[in-house]
Amino acid sequence: MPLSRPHVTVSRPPRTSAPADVLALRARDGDPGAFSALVELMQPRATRFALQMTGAARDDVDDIVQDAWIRTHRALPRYDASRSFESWFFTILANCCRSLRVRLRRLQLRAQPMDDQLRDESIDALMATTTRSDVARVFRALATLPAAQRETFLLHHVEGFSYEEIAVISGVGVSACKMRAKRAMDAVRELLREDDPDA
Amino acid sequence: MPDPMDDLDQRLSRALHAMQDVPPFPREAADRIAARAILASSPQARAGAWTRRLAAAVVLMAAGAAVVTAARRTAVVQRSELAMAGARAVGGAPVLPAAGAPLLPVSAGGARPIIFELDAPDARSVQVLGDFNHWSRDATAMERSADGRWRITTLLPPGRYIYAYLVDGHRFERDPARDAVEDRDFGVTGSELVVGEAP
Repeated sequence: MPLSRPHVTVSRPPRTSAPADVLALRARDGDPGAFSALVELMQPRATRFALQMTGAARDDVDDIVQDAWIRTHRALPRYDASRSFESWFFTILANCCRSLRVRLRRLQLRAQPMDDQLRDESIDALMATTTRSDVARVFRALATLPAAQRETFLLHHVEGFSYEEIAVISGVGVSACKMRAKRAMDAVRELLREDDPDA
Repeated sequence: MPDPMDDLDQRLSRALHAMQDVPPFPREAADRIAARAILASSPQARAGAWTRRLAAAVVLMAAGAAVVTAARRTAVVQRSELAMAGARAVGGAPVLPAAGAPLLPVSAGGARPIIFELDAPDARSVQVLGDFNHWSRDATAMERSADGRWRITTLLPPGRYIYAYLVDGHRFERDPARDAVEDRDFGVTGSELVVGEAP
């Protein structure tokens, strides 16, 4: 069966950047309530992204996201309102995730395997789903991908960013983003097919 | 016979949809994360060792002034306690909270009246945050007096508390008259306040 057929059509999540942008401007002007509301709005997505990007233990993931918020608050005076806050924040968060991976490599520590994560109740809480086994397979597939492909896949198919936004977040060209996304999707489909008990 | 690749694509689509779902995030937890971020990105937190060295020198130079400040602060608390007991403060009018003055929402079981006070004549807003209100941004706004000092009166049960002031929505300041201590539960550093049992 050919695998190069047209790929999965995924309706990306609706963007809610307008409220985040408004809150970010208020936070930039010194409103701590607006900053807290930003955390409330973005924290679940930030945690999900960091979990899936790093495969780290939950405590480490919480530290990564907290660090991202510290850097975000520190950089708020330089927030450019012409850019969506979500994409700006995810640029900072993605950098934090990359830093952790580098740190883990330097310490020769292994991140928690994805399978272990799936048994973690905190992950269960993040997933309201009846297709948990397929989600687990996607997790396993994502864990085998190069980090750059995994990042692009998650940002596009899960977080709903456009390739143009991902290009800015990841610091690469739009073409490279599209190529990474295609390779990631090919790999995920192939691994899902191999991992399919009914196949 | 159904195309197994169609089935695979549908399952992958469902799995990705499921991965996009996130539950709402508790507001109190968002407040804590935001407070940590604001505190950690404050100039005091970033200045590090240089600030500590400089502060040590300043403390030595200003020791006399600090003693006076502490004495005045103690006097304020004592006047408040007397006022709440229906007595008159020594040498002045009762320090009863003005009508409509903001009171922090805390348990009043065996509580004692405490006035938080900060001399910040140039500030646009001041809030007091602490473990007694979960470092929350709500119900913490202090009122500016004509003399440029910011005050809020609250009832606190006997116990040990850690607090800090949030000035202009972005600058954390510890109470200069009290030692810096870390609130391990919330991961922030503030000033210590011990409220004793009523006589």
